[in-house]
Amino acid sequence: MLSRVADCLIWMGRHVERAENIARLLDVNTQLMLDIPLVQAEKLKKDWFPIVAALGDEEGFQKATKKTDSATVTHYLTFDRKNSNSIFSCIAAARENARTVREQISSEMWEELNRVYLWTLGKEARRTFDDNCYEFFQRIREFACLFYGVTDTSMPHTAGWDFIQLGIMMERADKTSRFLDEEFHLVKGTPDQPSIYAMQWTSVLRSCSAKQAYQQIYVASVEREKVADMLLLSESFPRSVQFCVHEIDTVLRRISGVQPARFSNRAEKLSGRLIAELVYSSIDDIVSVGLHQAMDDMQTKINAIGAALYDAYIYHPTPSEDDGENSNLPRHNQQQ
Amino acid sequence: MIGTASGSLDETLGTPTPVGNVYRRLLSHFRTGDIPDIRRSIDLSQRLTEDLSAAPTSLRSSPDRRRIPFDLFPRVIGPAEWIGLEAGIRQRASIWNHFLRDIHDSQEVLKAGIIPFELVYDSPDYLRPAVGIKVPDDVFCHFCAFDLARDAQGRWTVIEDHVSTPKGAVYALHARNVINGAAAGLMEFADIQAHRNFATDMLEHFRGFSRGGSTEPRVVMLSSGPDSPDYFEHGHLARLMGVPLVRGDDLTVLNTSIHLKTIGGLEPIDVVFRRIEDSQLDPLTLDPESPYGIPALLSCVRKRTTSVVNAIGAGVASNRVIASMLNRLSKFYLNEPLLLPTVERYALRDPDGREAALSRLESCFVAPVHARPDESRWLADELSDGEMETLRRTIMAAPSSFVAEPLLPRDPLPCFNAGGLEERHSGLRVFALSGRKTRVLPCALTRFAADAKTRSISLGRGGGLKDTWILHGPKESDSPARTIIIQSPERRLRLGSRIADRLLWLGRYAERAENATRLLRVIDQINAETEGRQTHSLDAFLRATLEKTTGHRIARPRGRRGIDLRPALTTLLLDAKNPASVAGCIRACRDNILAIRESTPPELWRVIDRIHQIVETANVGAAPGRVAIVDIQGLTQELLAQFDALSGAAGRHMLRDDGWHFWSLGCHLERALVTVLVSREAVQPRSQNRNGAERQVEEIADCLLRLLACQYAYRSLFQSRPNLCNVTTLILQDGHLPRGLRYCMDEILSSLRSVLAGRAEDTASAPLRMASKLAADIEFTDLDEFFPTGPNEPDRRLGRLADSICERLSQLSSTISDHYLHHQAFNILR
Amino acid sequence: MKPGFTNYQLDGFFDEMFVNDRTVRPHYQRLLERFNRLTPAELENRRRLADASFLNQGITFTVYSDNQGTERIFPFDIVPRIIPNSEWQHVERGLTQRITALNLFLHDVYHGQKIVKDGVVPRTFIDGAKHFRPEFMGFNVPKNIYIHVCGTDLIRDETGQYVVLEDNGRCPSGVSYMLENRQTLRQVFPGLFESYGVRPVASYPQELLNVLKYIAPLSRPNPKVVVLTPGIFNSAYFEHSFLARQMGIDIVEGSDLTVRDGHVYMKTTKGLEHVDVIYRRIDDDFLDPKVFRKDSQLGVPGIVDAYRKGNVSLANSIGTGVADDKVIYYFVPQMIKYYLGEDPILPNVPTYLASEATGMKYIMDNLPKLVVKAANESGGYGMLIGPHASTAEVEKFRKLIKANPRNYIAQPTLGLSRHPCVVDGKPEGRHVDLRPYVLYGDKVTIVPGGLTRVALTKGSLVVNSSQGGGSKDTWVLEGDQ
Repeated sequence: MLSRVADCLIWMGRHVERAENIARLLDVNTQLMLDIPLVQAEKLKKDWFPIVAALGDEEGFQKATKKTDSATVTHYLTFDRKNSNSIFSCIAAARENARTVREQISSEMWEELNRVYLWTLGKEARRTFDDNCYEFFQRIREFACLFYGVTDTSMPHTAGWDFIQLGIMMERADKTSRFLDEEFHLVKGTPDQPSIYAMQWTSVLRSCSAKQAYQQIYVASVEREKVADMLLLSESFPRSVQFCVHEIDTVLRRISGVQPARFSNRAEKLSGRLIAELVYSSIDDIVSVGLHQAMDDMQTKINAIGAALYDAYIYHPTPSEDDGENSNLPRHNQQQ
Repeated sequence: MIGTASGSLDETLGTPTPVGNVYRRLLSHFRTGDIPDIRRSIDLSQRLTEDLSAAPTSLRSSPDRRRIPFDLFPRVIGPAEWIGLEAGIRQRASIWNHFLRDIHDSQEVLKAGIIPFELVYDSPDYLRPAVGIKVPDDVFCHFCAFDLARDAQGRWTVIEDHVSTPKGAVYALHARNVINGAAAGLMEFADIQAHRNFATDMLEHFRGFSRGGSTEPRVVMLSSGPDSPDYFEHGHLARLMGVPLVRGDDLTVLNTSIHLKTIGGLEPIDVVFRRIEDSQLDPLTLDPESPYGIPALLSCVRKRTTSVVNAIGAGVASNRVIASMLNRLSKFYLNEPLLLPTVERYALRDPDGREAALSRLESCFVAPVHARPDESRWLADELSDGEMETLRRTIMAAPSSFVAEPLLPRDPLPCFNAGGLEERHSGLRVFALSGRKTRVLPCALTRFAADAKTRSISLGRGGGLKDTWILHGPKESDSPARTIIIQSPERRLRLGSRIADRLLWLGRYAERAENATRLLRVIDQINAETEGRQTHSLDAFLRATLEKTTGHRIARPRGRRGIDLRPALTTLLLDAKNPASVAGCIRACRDNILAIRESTPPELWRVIDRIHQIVETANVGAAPGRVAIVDIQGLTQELLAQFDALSGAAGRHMLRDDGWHFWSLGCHLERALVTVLVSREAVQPRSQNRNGAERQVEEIADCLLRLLACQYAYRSLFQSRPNLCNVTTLILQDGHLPRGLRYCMDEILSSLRSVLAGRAEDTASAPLRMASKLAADIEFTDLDEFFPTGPNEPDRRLGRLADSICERLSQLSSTISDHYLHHQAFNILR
Repeated sequence: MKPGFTNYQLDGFFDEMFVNDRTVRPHYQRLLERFNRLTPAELENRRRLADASFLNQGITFTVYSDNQGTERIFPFDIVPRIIPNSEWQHVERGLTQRITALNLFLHDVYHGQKIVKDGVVPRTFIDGAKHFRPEFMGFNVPKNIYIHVCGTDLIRDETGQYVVLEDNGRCPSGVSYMLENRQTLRQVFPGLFESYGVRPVASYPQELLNVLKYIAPLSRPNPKVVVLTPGIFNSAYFEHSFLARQMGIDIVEGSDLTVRDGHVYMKTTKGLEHVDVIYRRIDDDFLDPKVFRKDSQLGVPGIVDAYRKGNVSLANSIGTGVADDKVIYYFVPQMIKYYLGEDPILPNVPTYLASEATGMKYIMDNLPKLVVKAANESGGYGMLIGPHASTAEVEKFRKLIKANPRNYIAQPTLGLSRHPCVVDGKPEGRHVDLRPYVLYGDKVTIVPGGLTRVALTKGSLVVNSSQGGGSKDTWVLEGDQ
């Protein structure tokens, strides 16, 4: 498969996952922010900050929004074309990628993406957003579910499908770890202020649509360490970092066809090491090291896997001027 | 302000007590706060109670969308008042324990004549087989609730004791979540006691009563299933406690101890937390017609291998006359005055009580002696004269089965609705965990009446829900959170067989519905393209495929070459009564998920419900029995999109645990079956009239690709016109094609292996052996030899191969059910 | 007689569907019956349905005028144009003759130039042709085929005779619309095809792939074929990706290819993969920054070197632009006579060369009545339609012609044939042309059909899609009814 095509497929997966991620965060947290009376704008800015930081573009947010209140922030993260991390730009970018590799994906996938793009482009989406933003976010989340379903059933699970999974899982691992890092420190409530503390951490769970899963796994009330444990180390919760890194590892091996527990490129080496680290450490070791520190190097490791993946499959060493140097090129000889 | 009872709202408003301050701040917030902000909170609070109120009452009826109204204005209880209530409730619970132990043992209280014999012996709830059973720690009512109301002097009195199966705890918990979600700002008005780990406390409390040797006793919650109106509450509480919700037929008695049928075999159970009346518990010894009980449960309790929470026999306490004599029992057992009095109540069985009641019947509340959840009760002041007359006659007919209580003053609480603040009558229910040390839970249930006039506050009859704030006392803070030991892995209960079975069939029906929809859509397209005049072989292929996969005979009209399949298509799409139709499969899907709603993510339920609505609305035009004429293309397009959303939602929201594997097993088994069935029809050698045979077979090969939605896959693998040999190779042996047979077999194998993990004899497991052999056979058959004369002339043996694969697939499916779900080949673990 | 077409006028032009105001041509009879069964509202609804399916499938081009980037679809008319078998046989023979002659001419021009030596075509016209590539004199292209895919535009004059308007030997676009129109019309008029005996066109991608495989270097067993596209911002990008998808081959951009010691490789996830045949949709100038335009971002540096070494084959070959030159077009009938010794079956439009004395005199005298075209423009740009143009424009062209006579030709204004189109529910006549697609591999294959382009504005003669023209489906019948 063409490297450029692989690159487009990865980014298509990433953009759809990012759009769904933003929609989910805003859906849960908009109400939380609207509660606190607007008069404490400063306090509000402090509350919005983890959400925006979790999406990874604090500077753009500072520049773009002079007055930080919930309305401007939600618009900035939804319809603002200049913000490359807004829902609209993510969907537009996903569609553009799909258009480039139109022949690699099934027509159902293309039509689904095209339909939601034309919807967000149109006025009707604006109207839905203005009078009831939950419906708008719900529509985006439903689209993401539908897109994954169509991708799974209509596309052969060959290299193309694998690269889409890579994109999705890298984005999800990155966003979950980043969101957990921001929230872990900014959650105001302390265990002895029970009602606020429980509320904050329940909303963190709801931001990762993990509330029901949490109850199934842990038979306990919502506590900081247990939430971190689930979002990082649970191997059965589809949104946890360990689950995503495990998926990345299996997909990398499927693409390269290497034996399990072996590696054929740097990306597989790094992902194997990260999995071992996650599986064999408990939440207490991570918290003892300091969660912020642990999350930072988790993100750098995930990005390192992404970079190694690009070196292995996407970027090709540009030829030095003298052609003779790349002798190992597969070339059929002249005499045939 | 209505009502003059002291301690009610308008009184406390005036006083500088902590409660008064909180109420004043709340009232000012709601009166002067910025209205759109409040309106938004209210909208959101309704949305958050949506899950709560969308509780479908029964399988057959469509879920009545009755919504439980929620009001943001909470009831506030001061610390001093709360401490008084706690003491009264603790005493009352221990009195009931003493009484129940006594009447199930030496019955001293009857011998001493404190209460008349016939009150106990005549009561239908008095279970003679339960007499003489030694209950752990002599505790009968482990979890009880008390309905409270203020009397004329403002003192709290108990109007009803729920000692057998108390309800409403989940609604109280949910009220706090709604306030958290919808109006978290309000929480900053007061320093409130948190619910914190209410459910886990209950679990730990029940575990204390297990007689089993192990450190982590296993608890299950026994419910009567989706037909009961409280099923939603049982599911919610079970999920919060992290215990499996089971029904009578999930448990079985084996050498006098209760076992739960799980996919890992039979697992012993230590404590059964029952949510059904105790008389229904054991059809062998108690009520024979009860469908919900477990035969021989009582023998296990007698042998003390299993303990039942809210012990058997606790039902006697639902006798309102005994409740009114509690002060005598308090002196007899505890030698203390009753702290929390029962409401003033006349037992109509004794003449002077009857006399007093009849004289002031207009201002009385009349109810039967034995409290039942669906009992008929009368609020005299709301009856018309005619109804009063009939009430008098029923009382006179059987006076001893009724009690009457003078009406208490209203307990008004402000409710915020469109017009502004309106006073509504409200009630309070407090919960307690009684045992060696009784603990009153800080999460109480407050309900308010449907409108200003009526007094009925039951949630089932239009009553609304409010949060209850219990303020901290000045010095004491919350007891520190006790760390709960998370169940160690090997003691963790495997998935219940019934739930696994439901998930398997949910997967199969969902897949069957999707395949049927896709089949009908493609056949309708082909039908339209050729205007019903398709070539003979294609027509035979289409009709045979339709009949084989749906088992629905299609009439074969004489004469006209091509038949118009349209009427058959529409019936197969919408006729819910026909089990093979799409509508039939969707209804089966919905029934399955309704039965296990508490163990599946809400997103799954929402998508399936939406699909069901689509089919219902499409069918609305039809007269009963007839099917509406409908735009097949538009409807199937919408349905297929929703089925993709369903598999997407399952992929993203279901935990990758045993449940997920059974769902995936069901999907892939069904998909493999349909793929082979459809290919079987395609390779059926049609009557080969030489001319155009080649083109007809090519047409069938192309149609087969369309039916299984893999034209795109075919084109990217083989760059040539479709021929039968290539198509069958793609469908049967390509490991990448999600709809291919090989892919399905791989998925089935991986699910079986992960479900098997941890089974004692996993090597000898029949399903895994059978599945691996079938997968190997499919992979290594050389399909070319089945096309000796040419890529479009299939040999007859290919048909036989397809039949044998079908046969082995259905055999595999029944072996899986026998092995995991029906416990024919059961074994005892650990 | 014709209820649906009651007030349909022919306005004196040759009409594809009606002999005169009253009688319909025999091969349109069944179509007319089907249309008469449809009310205007239904007609309009079907048209909307077709447009919706185009939009949904993304068969659009993006107009970047405002930064919004709105999606526009190529206007599509649902009334198909029908060609009976007898007429089609005639066109097929003419086109085969013409493409064979053109290939022989190009081979001759880049080798012995015998046609010039024999005085049939003056040397100045060859050397003066803008797209003549002297560097490729003497170079043997694979299988000596220069034009593999040719899109010849045909029109029908007042008498209904097919006349060749121009040849497109470089990269003719529009074939994907021919295939998509057929697919969409199947949904709009289900069932009409089989009963009418319309010959299928779906085999085009397969035939094109066979031609591309035929010209692979060293005739390797399964050569690696790719489509080279300028990128997603090119308005014809949809066609490139559509053809790649139908043929099941990869679509690449210039940046995806790299040349290592005379061989072209594709950068894939599994390393570099050797490429044998490139179906290029980029003009010669942008193909190789080392040889042609230095500033080209779209090309592949060193690809011409690999082409010269015979390690990669290109379709169409480099240098075919000569045949597209409007002046050379004037000589095609002479070429057919010279190379094949036959009389041309499909005549040219009478043409006057500004570079010849007699031609220039005629042009100057009758300029307002003539259509003037620049030799190397395409897509309807740089064109003067005398009768529709203002006198100022005519004078402007008069000066241009005098300044550079070699670069201009003139033709009489021909009344293109007309065909009924649905305009808000009612049928109205519009000028049309026909562009069949001719494949030249080991044998000449012409897919029975083509792209009928429609000048949508009433009375306009400009059919090019880049000037707002639309398209129709073209049916070639098995028989004549």
